[in-house]
Amino acid sequence: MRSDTQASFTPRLHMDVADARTHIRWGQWVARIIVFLVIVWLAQFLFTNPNFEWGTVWAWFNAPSIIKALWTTLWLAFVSMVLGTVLGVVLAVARMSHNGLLNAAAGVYIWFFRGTPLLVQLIFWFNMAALLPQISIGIPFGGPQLIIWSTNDLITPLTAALLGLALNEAAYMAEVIRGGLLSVDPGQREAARAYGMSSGQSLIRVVLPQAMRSIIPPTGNQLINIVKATSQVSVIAMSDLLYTVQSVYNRTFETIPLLLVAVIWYLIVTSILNVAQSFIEDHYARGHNSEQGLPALLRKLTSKHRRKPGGAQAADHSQARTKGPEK
Amino acid sequence: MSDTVVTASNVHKNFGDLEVLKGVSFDVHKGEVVVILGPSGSGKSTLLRCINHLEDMETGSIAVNGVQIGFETKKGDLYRAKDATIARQRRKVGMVFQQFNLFQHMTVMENLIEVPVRLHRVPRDKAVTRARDLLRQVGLDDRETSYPRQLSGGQQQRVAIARALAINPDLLLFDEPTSALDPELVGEVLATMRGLADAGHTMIVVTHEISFARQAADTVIFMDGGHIIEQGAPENVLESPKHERTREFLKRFLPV
Ligand SMILES: Nc1ncnc2c1ncn2[C@@H]1O[C@H](COP(=O)(O)OP(=O)(O)O)[C@@H](O)[C@H]1O
Ligand SMILES: [Mg+2]
Repeated sequence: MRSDTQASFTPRLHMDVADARTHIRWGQWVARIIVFLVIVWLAQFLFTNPNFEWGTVWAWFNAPSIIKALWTTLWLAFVSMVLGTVLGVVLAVARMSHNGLLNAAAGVYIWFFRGTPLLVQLIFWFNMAALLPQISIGIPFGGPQLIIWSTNDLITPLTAALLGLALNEAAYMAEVIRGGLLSVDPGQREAARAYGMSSGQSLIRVVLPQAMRSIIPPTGNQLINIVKATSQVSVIAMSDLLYTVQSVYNRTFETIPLLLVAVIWYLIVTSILNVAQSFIEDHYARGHNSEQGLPALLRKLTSKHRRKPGGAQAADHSQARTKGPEK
Repeated sequence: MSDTVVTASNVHKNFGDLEVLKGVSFDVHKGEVVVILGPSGSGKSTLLRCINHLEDMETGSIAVNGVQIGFETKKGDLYRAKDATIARQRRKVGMVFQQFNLFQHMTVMENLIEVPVRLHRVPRDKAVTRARDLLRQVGLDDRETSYPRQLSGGQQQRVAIARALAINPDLLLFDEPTSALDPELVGEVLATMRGLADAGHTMIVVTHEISFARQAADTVIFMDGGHIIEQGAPENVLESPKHERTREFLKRFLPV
């Protein structure tokens, strides 16, 4: 029966597919031409419009005051990110605990800090003294106080900026970390428990390292966001990159060129972070693909040479990778 | 008797309103291989998980080498143990899971030495030497640096068995170790397990592999609906079962 139906199907032509020709794709060409025209127009705009004052841009680009402000922006972002991540881990673990009160407290924290604008939080912290003139350690409800600080002394632009950025960041990082912890197969925690690990050991040795794979990409985004978010501390007179260029152009009226200085520095920093992120992602892909140490970018370049001779090997890699998420 | 490794008496376990174990009692002696058979949902996994206190139970008691895992006695009273104590009590019980549950971010070698080095404070070089011996024993001495995902299911399960042996266990628990494997990989894992049985390990094995029960078990327990229906030597339980439900169950495994 089967051989009959097969025999009745005879292709009319037998031509080598190597000789097959491709139709011209008009749509693709139109798109290319449009993009090309936009680039030409943009280049002309950037280089011929005198209002950019490129000379002024390069003159200010690495001026000492700008570099100092850049460092302020960088370490403000870095310290808030570290503090935010540590607090975020605590919040994420609390959010996942069976202790109802802890769980709810973490939930309210996340709700509050994600639900209000960062700018408002920063101004609020900066004006803390109006709400709480004194901060003290001691026995509450009228008991004796051991140490008393004046809030105005404690809350400088720096502490307000750090408080605002870190506490806000913690709320976002808590959700990122919680998502990562939930993405790890429960069997991993179960095995750790069965072999006598405490819940802390299981978290640090088994669950977190595997959660990192899904924590890193959104954390990279968070880091890039926080670098940009630091510009909001300029409203509380913290001399970050934006505040510094603003104070320069308020004097010199070179508004556009100085804003360009800031734009270029922000782009340089965020681009470096992007590259660093791809290296870190690869480190935490341990056990998920066979080529370690090479970031995705480099791997793309080297894989072209590899694929041809070792077809079986290449197939093996792709198999190992597709197997990844199923368990 | 002093050579008793596990003593379970009158174990009851509920999940909410669902009564999963309805008074289970049995003993396991040193070097004994016990195979637990029974239809799915009869409570086999739950029983196994009660032994190392991965599940709490309602009434009854289970002791492993005289220790009730999950509990401690103070001045004659029984207390629920703290987490750190429970973790310590579990350290001489090896467990092999249906889904292997090897630590995915660690190499084969790291999987084998993690618990001995971190928890049992075995010097690292000693743990590595021991791990190499075990890998040779399960036929995977060339895969030390592989990650679990780079191994077949059968190889992963053999690594998981080596991980269980690496803690020098007093008791090995297996929960359907071959159920997640492709049929052609079942044999290698069963062969490894028969080797352990011959070497005198005390084992409790939940499985649907009747042939393994026939060849390696000292005792076969048949469970259904949260009860032990029948237990005894494999030639009795498997060849001439006394109970109707056992006969029904075994019929499914007869060669057609
Ligand atoms: N964590 C749990 N929560 C609620 N019910 C469960 C849980 N684990 C198992 N059960 C139920 O308990 C019964 C016995 O399950 P199990 O011990 O896994 O059986 P077996 O291993 O014999 O197939 C089943 O009805 C199952 O649905
Ligand atoms: Mg089961």
